[in-house]
Order: sequence, then structure tokens, then C-alpha cells
Amino acid sequence: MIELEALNKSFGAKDSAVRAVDHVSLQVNEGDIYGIVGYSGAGKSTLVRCINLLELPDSGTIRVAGFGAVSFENGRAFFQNDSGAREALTEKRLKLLRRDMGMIFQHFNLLDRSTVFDNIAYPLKHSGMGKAQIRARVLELLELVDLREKINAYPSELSGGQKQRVAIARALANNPRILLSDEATSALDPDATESILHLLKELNRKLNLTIVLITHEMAVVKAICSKVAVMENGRVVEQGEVYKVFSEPQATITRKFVDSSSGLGRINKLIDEHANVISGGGTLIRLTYNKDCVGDALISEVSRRYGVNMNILLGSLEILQGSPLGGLIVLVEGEMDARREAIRYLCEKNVIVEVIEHG
Amino acid sequence: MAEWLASIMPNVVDYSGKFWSSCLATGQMFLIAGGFTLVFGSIFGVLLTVTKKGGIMENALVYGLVNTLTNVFRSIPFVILLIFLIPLTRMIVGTAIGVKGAIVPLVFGAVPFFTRQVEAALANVAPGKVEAAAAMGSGKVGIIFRVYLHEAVPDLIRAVTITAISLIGLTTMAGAVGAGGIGSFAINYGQNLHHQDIVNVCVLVLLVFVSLIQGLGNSLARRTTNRSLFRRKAETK
Repeated sequence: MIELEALNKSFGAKDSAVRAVDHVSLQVNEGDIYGIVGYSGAGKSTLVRCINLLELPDSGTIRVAGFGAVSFENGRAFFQNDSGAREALTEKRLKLLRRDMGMIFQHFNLLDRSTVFDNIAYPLKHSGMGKAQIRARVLELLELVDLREKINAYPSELSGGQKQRVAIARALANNPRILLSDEATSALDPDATESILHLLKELNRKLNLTIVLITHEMAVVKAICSKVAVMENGRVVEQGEVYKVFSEPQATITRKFVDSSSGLGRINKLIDEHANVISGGGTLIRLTYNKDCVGDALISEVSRRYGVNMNILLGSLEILQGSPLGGLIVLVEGEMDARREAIRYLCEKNVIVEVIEHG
Repeated sequence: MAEWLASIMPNVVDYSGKFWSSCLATGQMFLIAGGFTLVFGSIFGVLLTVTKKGGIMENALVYGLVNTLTNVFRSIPFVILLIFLIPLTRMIVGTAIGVKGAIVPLVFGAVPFFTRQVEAALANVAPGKVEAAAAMGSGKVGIIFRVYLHEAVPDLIRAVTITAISLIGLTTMAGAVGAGGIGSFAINYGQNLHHQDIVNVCVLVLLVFVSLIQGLGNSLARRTTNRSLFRRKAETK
């Protein structure tokens, strides 16, 4: 659906330029809810703006299924359609591309002086539609986001969640196949966040809408994304299926994100603060269970078999994309050899074991 | 009534013909110069907004030109501007005196002021709204009219109000150098002939006029904040 190839974007003067997007390649398939996570300043906002060309990349190629490819060389933009003819990217072509992609924002960006109706009708006006057609379409969209009764309200009369619903309706007005979401839930309270995420998931299913969603909250990724890319300093450091990334995070930053969302990261804080978690000796380990072994009673089995005490300090279990993923921080106490054997056994059972600290 | 008026402001009644024609002249200067100011100031204000760095039609040359001209004319005191522009005024309208002769310097005096006010009003429009419109495939003209000018209406009304009031001040100053109007009436018939009642009435007339403009501006700005002036209901059958 969307394919980014070797995108680069820098800001600032040549010698002091900041590489906001650094050689990023990724592929979003039709029907994906693709999450891009990273701390602020990681370049994810710039990256998502490169997709609908609100920011023009310095180099690289963007391919959108059914539209064609836009490539950038030396600050110039070229358009290439599916049959291969190459020409300079025109303003008209740019507008067509943008109308095929809706976008929603953290701060909604509704027109404060226009009613809900007029806000949603904004992209429909001057598009050759008649008044009656526009009204029918707006009503249909309001039905879709469940906000029919607010048709004549002004944004100042709506809650944050309602404003975002209006923004979603507006973004979908031209029947785009792609929705770009820039921190769309970051300014919302937990209830509104949940309802907006639920709505996005529903739209994804109902309309087969491909969603590219950037966020700094792993919880959002966990809730609705099927794939995720992790960004740091303009680069994509890790990408893949959400379950895979969560169960076997590779990059340090990914671990940090995963830990912060599961609560298991608190153990690092405890250790940093020199809380006496292993004062009595023992090995502090972290176990990650994936869907293949969550059901087994491994802790008590290991404890019995090797005669070690398994002291569970922290635990979490969550359902990701319909599959369970568990994590435990365990203090293993007993003879050194027995501890080693126990850990080896756990590894054999497909549990991912990490030794955090030896005591 | 007439007797009572004659008793409290005898000279105004004596010169009532001159008084009314002065009010009319001021009104003419105000409306004509105001109209030009509104048009040119809006255009220049929009130009500054869209051509500045990071604007939707970034253009350093146009921005630099408009910006410099605005600064130059804003920094010349109006009384000096009046005499400085006399040759130009003669060239454009054929005379440098009377209502006709006053229009040119008034426009030159008020446009830079209004331009800055418009620029400030448009700068208050959240950049995110502009970005959202661009993301929806809105063109540059669409963004100027449907986002910038549309969302800035309350601030623009305040800008018009402030500019209108300062323009009244300018017309009376122009009166001092031969433009006619209430300013010259107050000086030539009030001050020079020692008729204090004429000066008083001129002050009163200006006070009422300014208050009306300010009141109207405040009310309109309030009624257009976060809403359009008339709530249009999309019929929901």
C-alpha cells in the first residue's frame, strides 16, 4: 500500500543539519494498522509528514499503490506512474495524492469558527459535489463516527474526544484509503483515548482503511496496531509484527518502550535505587513467555525439579493481537548449580530468560 | 430647541453650514481612505503572512520588499508624511488640498499600520489548521480564504477597529494642512477665532464617533469568536 524507500530529510544549514529522517525504508500493507513509536524528537512526525508530502524529503522514494511513485533527487520531486513515465511532480498531482490520504492530529486542528457540518464539508466543497450530495456525505460521515446530534455545534462546544471524531470524519470525507494519525490520542483522557482507538480499529475493519499511526505511547500500539516500527534519532531501529517486537525486543530503546508499557521496567528502577531485592543472595532473572508456553506451570515445575525457590517479584500478562504474552521478574534462590540448571531448563522450554543480576 | 442651542454654543450655530460640511468632509476622507486602506492593508498583510519563512508561499524577495516598505512608511511621522507626499499626491489626483488631496497621504499613513495589524491577526491562526487544510488537498488560495482569513475574523475586526480610530486621528491632522474637515474647522474657526464652543463640539463629535466604532468593533469581535456571525443550521431531516 505504502512503500518508503531510503527516505532522508534534514533540517537546518548544511554543516549543522539535523537528520530528522535518516535513510528510512518501510512497507505498509493494505489493511495494516502500522504504528511508529519513538520519543519526541525521534523524527516520527517528520516521517509521517513525508508520506503525504507536507514535508518534502531530500531524497528517497515514496510509492503508494494505485497512485504511483514520487521520488526525490537533489531537492527535486519526480512523479512516476505505474506505466513508468517520469515527470516533475505538479501541484495538481500533489493535491490528488493528499486527497487519497486523510490525516488527523494531536490538537485536532478544526476550524473554530465553523460548525461540525462545515468542518466536515471543508474538503468536499469545490470538489464538484452539489450541495445535496455534500450534505448526504456529511451525514453519512457523522453516522460513521457516531456524532449525528452535534451537526450544528461549534468545536468549542465539544469535548476532546468529540473533536477528534469530527477530525476523523473530516479526514475520511474524500474516501481515502489511507489514514495518517499524528499522536491523535495524546491530548485525550484515558476514556476518550480508548473510544478513539476503538473507532480507528472499527474503521480499519469496516472500510479496509490502512492506518499509519505515530505515537509515543506503547499502550496505543499494543491496543490496535498489527505492525510497529521503532524510531530513534531519525532511524528505524526495529520493525515487525507487534507480537514479535513485544516478545523479543532487540534494540535497547525498544526494550525500554516495552518495559514501560508492561510495568516490568520498574525492576530496573528498584535496582538503580539500590533497593535490597537480592540481599539474601540469589539470581534475579527476567522471563518472557510467548504464546507457546504461557499455559505451562513452569515456575512450580522448575522449583520442584531443581530444588530452588522461585520468588516472583513482578509479573504481567497481556493479550496482544489475540495472543497472550507474559513477563515475570523472578528471584531464584538456592545452590549455584541448581540455579544454573533451572535457568537452562527454562531456556529449553522456549521461555526467554535474561539474567538481570547475580547475588 | 434652536434658542437653547444658540445659547450654549452660539458660534457653532452661526457657522452651522461650515460645521456640517466639515463633518461631511471628514466622513468622506474616512470612508474613501478607509476603503483603500482595507483593501491594500489586507493584501499586504496576507502577502507578509504567506511569503514569510515557513509560509505557504515562501518568497524572501516579496516578503523583504513589503516588509521594508511597511517599516519605512510606519516610521515617518504623519505630519511629515503629509508634506513629503505632496508632489506624489499632485501627480496622482492633480491637487494636494481638499478632501481629494488628503486621500493619498491618509492611505499611505494608514496602510502600513493596518498591514501590521492584519499580519498579527493572521499569525494568531494556529499553524496546525493550515497544515490540516494542506493535508486535505486545499490549495494556496483555499488556505488563504478558507483558513487564514476565515479563522482570523475576530482579530481582523479588532484590527479594523483600531485602524479606523487611528484613521480618524489622521484625518484631523490632515485638516491642519489644508484638507478641510473637522480638524481644520476646529483649528481655523475654533482656535484661531477664539470660539471655544466650536472646539468643544468638535471634540464631542469625534468622541461620539470613536465610541461608536469601538463599541461596534468590540461587539462584532465577540460575536465572531469561536463561531460564525450567524449560526447556519444544516437542516437535519
